[in-house]
Amino acid sequence: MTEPRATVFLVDDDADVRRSMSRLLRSNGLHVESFASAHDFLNREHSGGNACLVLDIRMPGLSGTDLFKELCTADYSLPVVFVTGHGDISTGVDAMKEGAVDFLTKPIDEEQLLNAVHAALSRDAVEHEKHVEANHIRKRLRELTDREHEVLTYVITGMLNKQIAYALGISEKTVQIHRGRVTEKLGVSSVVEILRLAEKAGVRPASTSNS
Amino acid sequence: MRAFDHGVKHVLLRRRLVLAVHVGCLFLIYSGWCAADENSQAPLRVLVLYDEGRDLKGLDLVKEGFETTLLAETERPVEFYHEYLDASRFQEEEHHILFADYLKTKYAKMRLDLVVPVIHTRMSLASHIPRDLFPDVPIVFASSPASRAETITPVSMMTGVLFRIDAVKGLKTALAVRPQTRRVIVVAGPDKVHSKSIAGIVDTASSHPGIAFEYWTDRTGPQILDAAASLPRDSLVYYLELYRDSEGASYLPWQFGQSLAEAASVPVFGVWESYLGTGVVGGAVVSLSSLGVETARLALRVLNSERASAIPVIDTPSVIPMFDWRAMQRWDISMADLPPGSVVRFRPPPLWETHRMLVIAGSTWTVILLIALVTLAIQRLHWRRVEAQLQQSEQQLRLVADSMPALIAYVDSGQRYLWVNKTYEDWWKQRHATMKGKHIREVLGEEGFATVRRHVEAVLAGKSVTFETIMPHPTSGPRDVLVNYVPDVAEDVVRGFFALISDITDLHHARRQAEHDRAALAHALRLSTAAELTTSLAHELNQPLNAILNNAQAGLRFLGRKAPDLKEVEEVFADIVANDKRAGDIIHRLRALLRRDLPQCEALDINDAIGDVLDILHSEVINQGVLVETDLAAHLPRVQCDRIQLQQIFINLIINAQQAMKGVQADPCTLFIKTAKDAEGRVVIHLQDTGPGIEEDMRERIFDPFKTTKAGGMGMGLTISRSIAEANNGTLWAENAPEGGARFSLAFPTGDQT
Repeated sequence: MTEPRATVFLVDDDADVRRSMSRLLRSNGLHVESFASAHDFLNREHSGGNACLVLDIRMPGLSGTDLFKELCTADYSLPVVFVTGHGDISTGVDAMKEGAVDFLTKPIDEEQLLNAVHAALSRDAVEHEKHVEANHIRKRLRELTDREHEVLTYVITGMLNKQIAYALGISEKTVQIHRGRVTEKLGVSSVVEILRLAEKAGVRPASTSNS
Repeated sequence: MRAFDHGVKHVLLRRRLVLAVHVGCLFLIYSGWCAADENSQAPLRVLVLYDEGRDLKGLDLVKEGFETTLLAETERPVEFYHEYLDASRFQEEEHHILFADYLKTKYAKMRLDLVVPVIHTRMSLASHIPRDLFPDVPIVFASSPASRAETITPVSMMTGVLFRIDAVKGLKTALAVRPQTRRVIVVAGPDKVHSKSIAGIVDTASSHPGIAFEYWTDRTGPQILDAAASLPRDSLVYYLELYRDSEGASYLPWQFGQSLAEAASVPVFGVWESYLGTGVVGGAVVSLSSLGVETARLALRVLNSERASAIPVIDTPSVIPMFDWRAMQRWDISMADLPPGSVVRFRPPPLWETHRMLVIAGSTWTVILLIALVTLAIQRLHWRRVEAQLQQSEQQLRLVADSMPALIAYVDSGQRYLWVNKTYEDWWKQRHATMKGKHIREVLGEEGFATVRRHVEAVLAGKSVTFETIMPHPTSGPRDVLVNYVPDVAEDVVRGFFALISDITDLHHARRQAEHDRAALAHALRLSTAAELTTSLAHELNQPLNAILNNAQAGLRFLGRKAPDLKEVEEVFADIVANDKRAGDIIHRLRALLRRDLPQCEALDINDAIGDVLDILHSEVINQGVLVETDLAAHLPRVQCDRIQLQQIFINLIINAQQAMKGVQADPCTLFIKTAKDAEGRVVIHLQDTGPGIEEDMRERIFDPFKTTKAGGMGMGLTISRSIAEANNGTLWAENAPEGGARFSLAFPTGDQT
């Protein structure tokens, strides 16, 4: 179920811990890239493929949570498994809320670790596919003109052409032409399909306060 | 002896006296001529023989007049010998013979130059003794005529002065002074000697018909005194003499005169100068001092080799009106009442009349003196108060000195105690009185003295000395004492020194106890710190444990493969060993930190110790989000201190710093640790944070106990840190770094003071 070339990124400031954990993951057939600090990780050379991040929470300088927050701001972030020496429940809860896959307390059992890592990699596989599709849709959406994009935002609200024309102060005919172009450019044939694409691409419906 | 015996026999027989005199005179003449040739430088020896007793006051007047005149008018030394027969009171012939015998023996070996018989009234043997005993010595007599007339036949070697009372003149004088007199009481003894005087008075009385005369010659002394006490005011008493009263009781005439004058209700007039001063008013009295003077003048002539027989006997009795001023006052007799030429005795000088200026001056002086006296009295009162205060303050001082828990003494330059306080006394179980004047060696004992001797010599050379020593104590054994000797220097001379000795045995004990307490407190605080750090420490221990676990599991995986990579497995084991050691080290350091040992000084590498601490606190500082940056100087000299205590200081300072940086939006919170050697050769460790710094007024107070700005802190961290630093000869101080943040510095002296 996991792709063989899946990569586990490991960030821990403690060399001993890093080495041993890396070794354990490797002994389980995982490809591991380990970093001594968050900075080192951020400066890595990006490579595609299935991956996850095992992150020590407490580190000097940029901490694990700091790194996690930074990653979340990107359009796609790796699934993260937090690791800590402290039974710091509140930190764990916060991390999970933010979207961490798991929160492990040292000493970490092999099974626990592997489960978490595999779960993370699985999520990555799914998320990554979604991410690729969304990228593809976004690429097509970028071909729309501003007016066409504007009409799209009205279309996905479920408004009729006549209503859209009124809201935009244009003729119904013009709305029909724009709509046709959007359908053509996105390669869809129905409003339902438009709606699904828009949702995947994260297009927000127009605000229809006066509807 | 034969001659004397011969004389004695004859004196017993009055009728043969004359013959004896004649026989004696033959000797007198002969030896008198022989004696003419004499050494003029040898002392003149004059024997004065009195027929009366020594108590007869009049004789003193004679004696005084005689001696004074004689001494004044001769250049040769004069030796006077006085002998008293006391014949009036001791009339028995036996007594007179023995007296003669006594004189004979007494003066046997003595060459006399003159014999002066002073014969009063008795026809006593005294009149004969000179001629009988000292036949070859010239005689100058002073005699009453009664005796002379009957017994003395003038001879070649004899001359003299006659004296007699003048009863008639005396009476007339008395009546002249008291013209209002209507009654005269004549007091005399029953003796025959007064008959002539009485006869004269009776004769005079006849020419005073208005005056009644009574003759109290046959009464006893008490009767006379009794009767005299109640005489009418217009009376006077005319007192002649009383040796024996009607019943034979003997009196000294002047003494009876005194009793009479005291008892009598009227003035008493007398006939002898010796009565003056006894209360008798006086009257025409025989001047006995004049008698002495006249006798002396004759004596001088004889002593100047003039023949005594060639000098006529003087027979002009010196009767002079003399009065006692005090008695005159008593009887209201004024000066005007006295006959012209009267001598008034005992009269106070009329100051105001004769010495007006003196009186004024005197009065002025009196006033001045009075003022001075009052001033003095006031002063004295004041001084008394001051004195009382002084006394009080002295007592207080003594009280203070006594109640001092220290031994205080003042020792003089001879090393002897002059003063000690009560504590001193109590220590040596001796009283101040017994210690005073003792040499310190005696009190301290040989052993004690040996320990202070050097210092005593130093202080007596003028140097203040302070030293600690062990002093013996009579009951509680040797004690640790702190001794101060302060020299007492006056005008460059060390007069002694003050010794102040404090028993510091308890202090020493307390000091040791304090050291122990501090160690215990430090330990307690280390435990408390460790408790605070539990999470971090657990994490720190967790790291190697986790590594071991992971390695072991990985190892199992590797071994489980069909073709195990043994190189990998070897690395696994090596890592397991290393991590186990790491865990062991942590536990070891932790145990050392938590062990309760007494401080042990060792030569420490400061950087090493800091490294250890940073290892222990590794997780803690990460947890707190603090970045530690170190700048440790290489080749620092080692410092002497206790490793654990030093680490405790670092831990406290680091925890303190990270707590100070909590809540500060510094990115990142950084703790700089720097070691260096300063200009004084000390090793200095600086810990500087990026916190808010220390408020200026708190800079020193942060080291006070229980001064904390932290919610959960006890406020003992910095206090114990400074205390530990100082116990290890170090210095810990705080300041604000110029670039912001607090900087704590810890300095230790090292061997190399460059």
